Parts: sequence; C-alpha cells; structure tokens
Amino acid sequence: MTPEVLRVRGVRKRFGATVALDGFDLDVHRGTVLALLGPSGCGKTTALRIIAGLERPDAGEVWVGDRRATGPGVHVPPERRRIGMVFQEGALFPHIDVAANVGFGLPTGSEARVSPVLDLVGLRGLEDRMPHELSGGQQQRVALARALAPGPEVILLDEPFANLDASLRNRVRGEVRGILRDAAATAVIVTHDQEEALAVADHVAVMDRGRILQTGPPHEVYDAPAHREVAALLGEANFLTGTVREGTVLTILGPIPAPAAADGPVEVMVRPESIQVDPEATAEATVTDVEFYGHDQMVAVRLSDGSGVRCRPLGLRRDLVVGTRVRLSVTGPAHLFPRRIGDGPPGELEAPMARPG
Amino acid sequence: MRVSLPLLVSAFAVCGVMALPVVYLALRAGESDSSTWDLILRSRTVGLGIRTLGLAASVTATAVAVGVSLAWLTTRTDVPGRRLWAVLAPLPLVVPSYVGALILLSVLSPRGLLQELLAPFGVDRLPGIAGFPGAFLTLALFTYPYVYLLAVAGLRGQDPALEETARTLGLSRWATFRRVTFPLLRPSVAAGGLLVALYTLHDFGAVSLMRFQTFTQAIFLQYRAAFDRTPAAILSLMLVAVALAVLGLEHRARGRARYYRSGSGARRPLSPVHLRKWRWPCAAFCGLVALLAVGLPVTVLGYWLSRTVAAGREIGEVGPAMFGSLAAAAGGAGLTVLAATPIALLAARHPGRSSRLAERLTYAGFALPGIVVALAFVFIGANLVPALYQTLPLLLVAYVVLFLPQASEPIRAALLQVSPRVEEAGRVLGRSGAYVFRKLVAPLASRGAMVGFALVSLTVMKELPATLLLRPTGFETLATLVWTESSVGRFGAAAFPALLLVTLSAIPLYLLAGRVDLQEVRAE
Repeated sequence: MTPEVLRVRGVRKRFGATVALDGFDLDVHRGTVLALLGPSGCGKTTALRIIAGLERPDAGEVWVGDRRATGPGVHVPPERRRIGMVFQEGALFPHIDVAANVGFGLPTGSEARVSPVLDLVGLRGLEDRMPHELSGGQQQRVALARALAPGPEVILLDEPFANLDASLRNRVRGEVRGILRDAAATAVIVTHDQEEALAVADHVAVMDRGRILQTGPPHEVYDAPAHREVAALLGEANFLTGTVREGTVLTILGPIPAPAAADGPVEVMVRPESIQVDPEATAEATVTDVEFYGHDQMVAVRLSDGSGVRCRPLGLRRDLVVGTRVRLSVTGPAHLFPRRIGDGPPGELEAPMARPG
Repeated sequence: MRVSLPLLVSAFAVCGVMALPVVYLALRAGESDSSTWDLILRSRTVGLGIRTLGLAASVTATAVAVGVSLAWLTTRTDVPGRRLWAVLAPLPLVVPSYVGALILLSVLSPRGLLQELLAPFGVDRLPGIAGFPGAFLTLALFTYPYVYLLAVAGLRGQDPALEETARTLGLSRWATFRRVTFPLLRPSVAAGGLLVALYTLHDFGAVSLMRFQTFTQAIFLQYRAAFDRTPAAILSLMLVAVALAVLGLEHRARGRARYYRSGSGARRPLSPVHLRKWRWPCAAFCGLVALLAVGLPVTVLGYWLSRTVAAGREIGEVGPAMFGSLAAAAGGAGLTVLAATPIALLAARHPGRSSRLAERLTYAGFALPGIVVALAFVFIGANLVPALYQTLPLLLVAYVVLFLPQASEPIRAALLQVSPRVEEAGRVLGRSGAYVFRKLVAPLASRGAMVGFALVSLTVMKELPATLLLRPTGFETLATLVWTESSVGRFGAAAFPALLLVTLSAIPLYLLAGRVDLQEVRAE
C-alpha cells in the first residue's frame, strides 16, 4: 500500500464540558479519497480543523508526510502545512473574480498555473466572473480549484455538497470525484450522508462520539460493519434476534446459514435489499407501507410477532400494495453480532463474531 | 391592495415640502445677474472650496484610520482592556461638534486651561489651535465612531471561513488582513467614511467656533452681512453639489463585489490575533483615543462646572434654554413622525415606482446641510409666508426636512416585519381589512414610530444651524446657548448647558444602543 500522507494519532479535544474528539486516529494514503462519515456533532469538523491547523488539540499528533504538524509543543500554522481546505459554503472571496480566487494561494508571478487548474475543474472561460455570478455547483468547483492550485499534500473538504440542492448534489459529487482522481489528489471528505460517503470515497472512516469506529473500503464497511452503530449509520439495516445452532441462525425470517459462528444467541443484521418478498395469500406477514422510488421501492412489512422489517426488492413490484400478505426470505448476505444480554451500559460496543458464509 | 387616495395625497404633500428648499434655492440662484456670479467665481470661492474639501478629506481619512484600527483591535485581537475600549469607543458620538470645539478651545487656546497649568513654568501664551488644526481635531475626534461602529458590524458579519481559507492557502495573518479582511470591510468603511465626510461638509458649529472658513461658515456670514442673499443661495447650491459628489464617490467605492455571509452553519468565533510585543503599544493607542475623545470632554466640562459653582456665580440661565430644547425636540420629532408615517406606509405596503421616488426624496435631507435648509426657509418665510417667518412652526418644518428618514426608516422596518401574507391570512380568516390594520399593522407601526420619535428628538436637540437661523426672536435652546456663549469665549457659562445637552442626549441613546447590544450578547 502507498505510504500515508496524513497520520493522526490519539487526538483529544474538548470545548468546555463537551468532548469533541476522544482518541481520534486516522491514516490517509497517497492518492486516495477518504470519507469521514458520522452523525452531526460527532466531531468530524473539529477533526478536520485540527488537521488543517485551524484548531489546536488538547493532546495527540498530526503528521503531514514526514513532518509533525501538531504535537506536544509543536504547532505548524495553517499557512505552512500544505493542506488545502474546501468549506461547506465554498467560502469564495466575494471581492475578487474567479481567476484571482484560484490564484490566491499561488506565489506572485505564477498566474500561469491558474488556467490548467480551471481546465481541470471545467471552468475555463469563467475567469472574469465574480463569485456571486456563479451557480452553486460552479462555486464549489472554484473552491476546489483554489484549494488544488498550490498543490497541497492533502485536501480537506468539509461537507462540500451540503449546500447544494438534491438534484445538483449528485452531479457535483461526480464532478468532484473525477477532478480529485484526475489531479491524483489525496483528500478527506467530511460528510454525514452515507450515500455520499459510499459513492465518493476509496475508504470510509465511520466515526461517532469523537472516535473512529471502523475504516475500510466502502463495500467492506457496508457489508461487514464492525459495530451495530456502524451498520445503522451506513444505510438502512434490519436487526433480527436469532439463535445459532450447528452453522445456521434461526430467525423469524427463517434459517440463515452461518457456518463459522458458535452456537448461542445472536443479533442478525439484514440489509433491506437482501430480503426477498413474495406475495402469498396464506402468509402471516403483511405489507404496511410502500415508498415508491421510481426505479424500485421500499416495502415495510409487519411480521407475525408484530415487529417490522424494511425490504427493498429489486425492480418495480406492482404486486406489492398495502395489505398484501407476503412471505419473506433472506437471499443476500447477513451479518451477525453477539446478542446483548441484560442491560449493558448504553453505547457499549462489542466486536462482531463472524461473517456468515 | 389599492393605494388609498388620502395616503397618496399626504405622502406627496410631504415630498413637496422636502423638495421645497432645493427648488427655491435654485430659482433664487437663477434670478441672479452676472455681477453676482462674478462675486461667486472670484478666487475667494475657490479657496473656500479647497478649504472645505481639504478639511473633509483629512477628517475622513483620519476617522477611517482611527475607526478601523479600533474596530479591529477590539473585535479581533487580544489587546489588553478590549472590553473597556469597546464600551468607550462609540461614546464621542453624543458630543455635538460645537461642544467638542468648545472643549478643545477652552483647553488649547492661547490662554486656555493648558496655559494656566503651564503658567508656573513660564508659559504665558500658547500658539492656539483656531483655524484648520482646531476644526480638524474636533471633527476627527468626534466623528470617528461612525466608522468604528460600521467597521465593527462589518467585522462581526464576515464569514470566518474566508480568513481560514486564506490561511490554508499559505497567507500569514498580516497578509490575510491585507488581502481578505480589509477589502471585505471596504463597503462598511466607505459607508462610515461617507457619514464622516457629509458630517464635516455640513458642520457649522465646529468650523465657526474655530474660525475656519468653509462653505457653511461663508454661507452664514453672507447671510448675516449682505443685504442681497443671492450669493448665499449660490454658495448653498455649490455645497449641495459637493455633498452629492461625495455620495457618488461612496457608491463607486463599494465596487462590484457583493458582500454577504453565505451559509447558515454554526458560527465559530475566530481565535483572536495574538499581538505579542504590540499588545501594550496597541492598548496605549486605544487609551489615547479614549482619553482625548471621552476623558477630556468629561473632565473639562466637569472642571468648568465646578469652577463656576465654586466662584459662587450663577450656573447660567439654563431654565428657558432647556425648556426650549425640550419643546423643539418634542415638536420637531412629533411633526417628523407624523410626516414620515404616510411615506413609510406607502413604501412598505405598496412598493412601486412612485413609492420609491417618494422614499428617495425623503433622503434629500440627508444630503442637505442644515444651514442650507435653514437659509431656504429664511427666504421662503421672509418672502412668501411672512406670517410664518421666525415662528416655531417654520423651524419645526425645517426639522422635518432634515430628519425625516430617521423617523420613516424605523416605521418602515417595523411594518416590514409583517409580511403581506400575514395580513392576507387575517383576511382569509374572515376579518375585515380595517380590523387587520388595527390589530396588526397599527401596533407595529406605533412601535417603529416610538423609535423614530426618540431618534429624531435626540438629533433635534443637538441641531445648531437651522435652530440658530429660524428660531423665533428670544427663543433659546441649549444648543444655541452653548454656541453663543462659546463664540464669545465664555466657556464657563457654556459648560453647564453643554453638559446638560450631552447628558440629555446620551442617556436615551445609551438605552437605545444598550438594548441592541444586550440582545447580541445573549445571542452569542
């Protein structure tokens, strides 16, 4: 694997009584895009600002390349860290035009480097526009170009798509992904949107309450979450109780194979798209709601014991309407967690046992 | 909603009154023959223009430098005592220019208080500060708060992400200030500079006490001395032209950028700039400004007061003057609010071309110097309606022309708090238009009217040139009393009315501003 461009170790930060970061570690490899995903208030933005040098941590270290930028008695000011930053609102300088914004961080005399960067972000020809004359997506691309122009080691993007409306967001996200790849940039994107994190990043780091819970490629953290919290943060998940017996979990949705698991009570996570839904007049489960998404639909089903699961069968299913009696079966991957017995301390995290085969 | 006819008629009647002074002066100037123009175009007038513009430029430049530095030091740095400086910095605003001039003159004139202090060391005469130095010092000291207040607001409104971005792009603190913070502050600074420049151009009290001849003083002297008042009218129009040119200049200085704090994310306060070895020099600078602009006035006025009392002399016949001030303030503010209401209603409820025009006209007073409006009404009173000449009603009408926007703005702002949708909702709920107006619009408008009344009465109390020219014979206000006493050098007699005037206008202003400040503090 390529060497780490950015290493964060054991960073702690509190604001008054609130603990924002509580032993935060992070590794970002050269040329990769890492998404830092977490619910709002989990400390993502604080982490980013400490990496950029805009905030000083109470403890911990930040290494950029081979250089320690933050550590006990060390604080490299933000202007000497070679770290670019793109803020949520773009934060373009409103008093200067696009070319001057992009060239802002370049040494005087190197204005020639503005044009290639504008080419890269596809904004050639807009050099003379003022920021307020640009659309939201264009503003965000100028902000990215401005951060890329001085050739930083790492680019930090703080919820860069949050201010764009839904229809624009997907497009700009794709553009930014392409630009970062073309520039072979190393980037950290902070987001609270799991779809965004999974779509944009090479690696996803899921964080909650000031620390990283799991880091890995998108499919890995999605399919094999290390904690129940990670599973819940990354898309919809159904949690069923079950018991493992001789390589099979018995659940309300029927038996699910789990060859490597030891016998005993477990919790099974099943993604909605892993559940097959078949109408069956004599079945005990009933469709209670259908959310139509155009290309497919989310179906809420009430089971015989009164609990509910959410299923997302492929394609358009006109046969599923509210009141339809259905039979459910698990077809895709399921993931086991040890069952919590009794009332453990809230928020206690436990390691997963095994992946079913 | 259709505009009701009475509303339209009353609004345009007010506009007519607003336009009256300039129209009349223009007519009057048009009548003049060539010999009058010769008089005007003599080199003396050129000197007048140079002196006026020179004073305005130097005062504005100094006020901007002092105001912006204080604003930056108190909002962005760790300068020692920043809270204290932030409280003291806007205070000089309550000192009218002629009171400021009286204070400086009484200390620094050849045989002023400073000379008395230095007498034991054999100093029996100081060079004095009459003329440009005095006028400059007075106006700069007591107008910089306009720039300070707007710069503070501008600095607080800036998106912190902009400065942080500049830092991540490799700019040092100082380069960030030079390339981002200050350019973004430019519109606020330009607006503050405009206020200072107009104040200086319009000022009559300080320049006449300091005997520095500018347009306003020349107009006054022409009016007093000459039988033919046409030259005064022409000089007035020239001054108005200069004021308009300054307005245009400010408009250009704003540049083509649009300034806003985008986004609504949580605000993070910027960490303050550490001044390090500059901490104490910066604190000394803040202290010096506070000492000159706040400490000096308080000390000097207090000293004169105690000296007069100690000498067993009467502290002056301030009773009638105080009554006059209160009467003028109440009458002027009442009439102004009355005149402002139809304009504000029209602007808030029926936005359109005619209401915009009406609104623009009400701002005429902003560009018109008090002395010019006063002169126009002297002409009008003397020639057209002799029955009104030198009566209180005519003076009050002049106040309306000068201060209408101060009353119409709060009313309009209050009315705009209720969107027309809310009114429509009331109608849909089955209430009559009159009911909705009474229950919703009227209470809001009256709250705005109260603020307007307070603002205008404070301003009227301090107004000097119009009061001086248009007051009925024998009618005295605190302002005119201070001016007459100090123009003959009787500082002791001027001190008590001056102190009274400052106190009377400072307390309500402090309450008005204090409420705003407290809300801000709570929001933080």
